[in-house]
Amino acid sequence: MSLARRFAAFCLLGAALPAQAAGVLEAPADIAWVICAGSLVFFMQAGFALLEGGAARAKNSVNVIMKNYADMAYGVLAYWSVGFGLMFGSSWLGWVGVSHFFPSLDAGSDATFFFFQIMFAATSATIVSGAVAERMRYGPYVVGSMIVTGLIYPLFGAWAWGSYVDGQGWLRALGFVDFAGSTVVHSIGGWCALAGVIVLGPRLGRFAPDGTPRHIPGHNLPMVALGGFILWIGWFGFNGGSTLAATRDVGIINLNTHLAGCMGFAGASLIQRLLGRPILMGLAVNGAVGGLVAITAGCATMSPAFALLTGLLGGFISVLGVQLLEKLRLDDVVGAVSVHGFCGAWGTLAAGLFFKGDLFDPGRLIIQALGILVAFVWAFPMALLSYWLLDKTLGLRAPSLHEQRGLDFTEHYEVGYPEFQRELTHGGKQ
Amino acid sequence: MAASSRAPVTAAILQAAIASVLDEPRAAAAVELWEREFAASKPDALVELVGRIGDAISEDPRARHQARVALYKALIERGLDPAATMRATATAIAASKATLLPAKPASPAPAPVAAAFNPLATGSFGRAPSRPAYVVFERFCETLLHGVQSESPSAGQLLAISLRAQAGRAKAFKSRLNALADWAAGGSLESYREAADSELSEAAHCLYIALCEALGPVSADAKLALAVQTTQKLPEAAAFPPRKLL
Repeated sequence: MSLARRFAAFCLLGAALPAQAAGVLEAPADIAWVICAGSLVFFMQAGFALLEGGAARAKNSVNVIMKNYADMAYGVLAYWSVGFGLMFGSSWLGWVGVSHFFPSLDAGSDATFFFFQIMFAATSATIVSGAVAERMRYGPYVVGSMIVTGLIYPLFGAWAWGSYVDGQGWLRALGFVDFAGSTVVHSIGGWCALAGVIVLGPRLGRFAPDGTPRHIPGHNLPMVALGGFILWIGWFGFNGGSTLAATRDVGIINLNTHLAGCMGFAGASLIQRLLGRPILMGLAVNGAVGGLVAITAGCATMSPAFALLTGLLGGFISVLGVQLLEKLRLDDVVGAVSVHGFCGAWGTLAAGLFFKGDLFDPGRLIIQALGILVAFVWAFPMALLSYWLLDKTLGLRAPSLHEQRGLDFTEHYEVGYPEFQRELTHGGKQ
Repeated sequence: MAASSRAPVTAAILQAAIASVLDEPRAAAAVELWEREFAASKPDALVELVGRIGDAISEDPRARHQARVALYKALIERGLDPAATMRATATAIAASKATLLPAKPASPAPAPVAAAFNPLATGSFGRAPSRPAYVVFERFCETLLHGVQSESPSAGQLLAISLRAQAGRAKAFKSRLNALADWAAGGSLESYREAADSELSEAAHCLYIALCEALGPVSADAKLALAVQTTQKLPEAAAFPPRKLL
């Protein structure tokens, strides 16, 4: 068996979860690498916080960053108590894990595996916060985030990546390839974000009465740029760490990751130019992230040339997706649905199209398309229902007065930039 | 002392401004009001004078508002800013209170306060002075409206349309919103003169929503900040800070 074929088989049979095999995550080097990779994935939260916080208006920046923190803090609880068991517990007919709830995680390898996976779960949840920024209340957001990390993300993960203990998910058994989570993590987060955006409605005045979109610039573009860079470096842990071993494969995986990110940036810039517009930094950074999202599924199973192409098209999609959402009068503050949902779907398709040694296999393509469709059909309605229920019970949307004052003040009773916001700061909470 | 020395200059400018805006009988009545109640005792209270003249012009709030605006413009064109005059006086009074013991007025004794506040005593010109909250609110709204009109001449109409739409959706506060819409279309804010502080605050918020819909949230935020900065300079802002409207 050639190295390429062995590598392909390795990926097909669950590259993200070789921990099933005996001895995985036992070697100190493997543990060290995966812990480092998990820490890089954790650092992505800082990237999200900067990118989303900078893309929001100053009066909402604290609120956005608080949501990023909440995703990590409360997401851990939801994932540890329920999510991990649903996703990686003993698989019941390939549909759902039924063990390992409230896991004790005594063994070093299990703990390492859990540590890495919890970072993924939080990443999926935190995608939502940017899309719904500036008008979703903090408390209901936290509940929604726990639903994502505790139920929506892990259940699809069980189908595509399960199980760590016994059996395997039905999508995985079909041959669905999603090495590090273009669909499992990013599209799921993107579809949840889309549901949140629909339930919430746009920010005050985001669209003119005739439907013309109005640009609401973020308050700090350097923060957006720095957030993009931090996400990028975090992606080397996200994709490279998904080997769950310190192997030589990490090299090609991270090279592909980097190339796709570069081409995503180039693609977003190019499409803006082709559309006759100035090359906006925010969209270009989004393009880089779109390229990174797109390569996540196939970074271990495609050649660098195809990684370049995947990233380039990811950059295109990230820009065009934003336009599509604006035409539909959907207000996604940071373009999360486009970058994570659409680019994730494209990347998953690309992983099937450009599978090394088995290029353009229609059978593989159908399975990939099925996985993409199933992810949407599961995550979007579930999130829509969850957010709708939260809206009807707790109240999801901040009152318009809070939108005027800014959620920093109304939700947290503090402001991010008091020196510059004094005129707009109300003298009391009520 | 300073007030009485400025009075002749003020009177000349005032009479010219009044004559340029009002027809002859009304101008004569306005000048008479000035001489009877303001010239001796409070020559710098031009804001109050303009308000009183406007009130006497017509029962129609829109016409009253237009007359007041025309008078303000005529005065400012002649180098007499009523608001600035009022601020200067307030500052002078504050300074004299800080440095001197209370002194007897040098000018003839002012009209009894009770008479000034008694509509029967002053005829159609009689009106109680505005509450600080209302003064701040009125200036706040006017600053917003001027900002809107400077951006787009039709934006005032958009503002009115949005406010009427809000009134249509509202379960309470309907009449207040309709009054605000009337004002945006060229009417006056008279109906808010006796409104509670909370109603003023709610009206300011409804205006913000209308601004967002008419111009977009970025412009709305900027105009809101400008309105706060402008009204912060009013003497009444000490009693009612404009931030209370936010």
